[in-house]
Amino acid sequence: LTVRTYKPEVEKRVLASIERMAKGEAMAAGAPKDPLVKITHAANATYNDPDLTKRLVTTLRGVLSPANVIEIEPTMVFEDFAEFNLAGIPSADFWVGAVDPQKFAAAQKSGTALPQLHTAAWAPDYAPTLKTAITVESTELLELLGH
Amino acid sequence: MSRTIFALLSVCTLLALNTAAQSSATWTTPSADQVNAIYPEIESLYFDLHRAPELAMHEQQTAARLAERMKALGYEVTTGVGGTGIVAMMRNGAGRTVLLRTEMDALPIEEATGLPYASKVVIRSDSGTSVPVMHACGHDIHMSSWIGTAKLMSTNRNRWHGTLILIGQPAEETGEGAPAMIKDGLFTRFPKPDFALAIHDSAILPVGQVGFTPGYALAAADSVDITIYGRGGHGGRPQSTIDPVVIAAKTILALQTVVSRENNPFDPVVITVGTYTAVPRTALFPTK
Repeated sequence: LTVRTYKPEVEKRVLASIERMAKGEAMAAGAPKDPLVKITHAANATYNDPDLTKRLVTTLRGVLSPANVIEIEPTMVFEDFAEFNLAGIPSADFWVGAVDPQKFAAAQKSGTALPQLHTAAWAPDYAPTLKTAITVESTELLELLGH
Repeated sequence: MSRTIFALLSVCTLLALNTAAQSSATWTTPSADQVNAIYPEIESLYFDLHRAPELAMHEQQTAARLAERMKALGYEVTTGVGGTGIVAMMRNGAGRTVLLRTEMDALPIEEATGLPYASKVVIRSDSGTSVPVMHACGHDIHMSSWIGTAKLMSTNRNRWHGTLILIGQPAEETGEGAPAMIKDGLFTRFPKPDFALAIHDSAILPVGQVGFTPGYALAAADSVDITIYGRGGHGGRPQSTIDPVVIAAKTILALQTVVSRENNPFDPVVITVGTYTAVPRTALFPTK
């Protein structure tokens, strides 16, 4: 099974609960021995430094317009970019929209699901995605190195 | 949509010119003309990378391609950092050190987009099976834009100062790549960055939009394998057995309360039981 969390203390408690419950059920059934619980830590939670994020958002909004730089919910997928912030380096990971605007509008209207990342049908609208990605990266770097 | 962006870009440039000295306006962002001028070669690189995906920790050709481009752009390039990782550095006077990461690995997925540049790559795994490979997470987008950004930063180096560290990281999909590069001296053999940046293509935002999430943005993940022991026996004599399948079923239900009853509802947790196997799988009661 897999466990996804954000806070390290929650992760620790959930893993301990899983082991406790597995042992409890085995004991209740009179199992000959305790279950073997093997935990493999796959990734840490990615934390975007709030001050750095705010600074970059302000700059990006000046370039791409406030309406095009929007706050979105966290997601429970994982990413090893977490390691940089954990190493004490303020870090920020930004999402760059990659869905064809017509397909996006049609999906919004009909309520159908769009192809997601990690699927055989994922095909970013590459030309505007690449141009926006280059603009975002260069703008961020110039914000941090250009003054 | 791209036209809208560039129209906005030029509006912003004009605003900046009006409010600041002319020289400082050029520090803000590359012009649409600059991005458009480098775009054809970036698009061509994107197609090349998309057609030639490589799995985690096997990104040799990808890394070689990126390293060659970075050298041509004037970066000091170190290869083989944490496996196939590359570090491209540009020292440009005193100032901050900033790191920008791209991932390089693809996924074991058979592409079904039907696009003219679709991946047809199938590799033979270590165990001898055929594995299709596809850039299904957009790391090809990230690598291509990373090279585009490297080019703009190199040609505009009179507009910034400090040290730029661009890393091509292996094995993001397995979670191994970043720890491997750090363990191999990313912060000791090279200057430790003051800031680290990355982007990711989004399948939930239309082009032209950029999304951000301050604080916790992506989850920690643990994989838990539980082996439950019982006592095997004949299906017609349940009284002589302890059935681990029933114990496992009760455990799976019990685990639902870890989220619903033990956890603060404002702390997100997902527990997913993905597979469940009894050994041996016969009419007998299994042993585990």
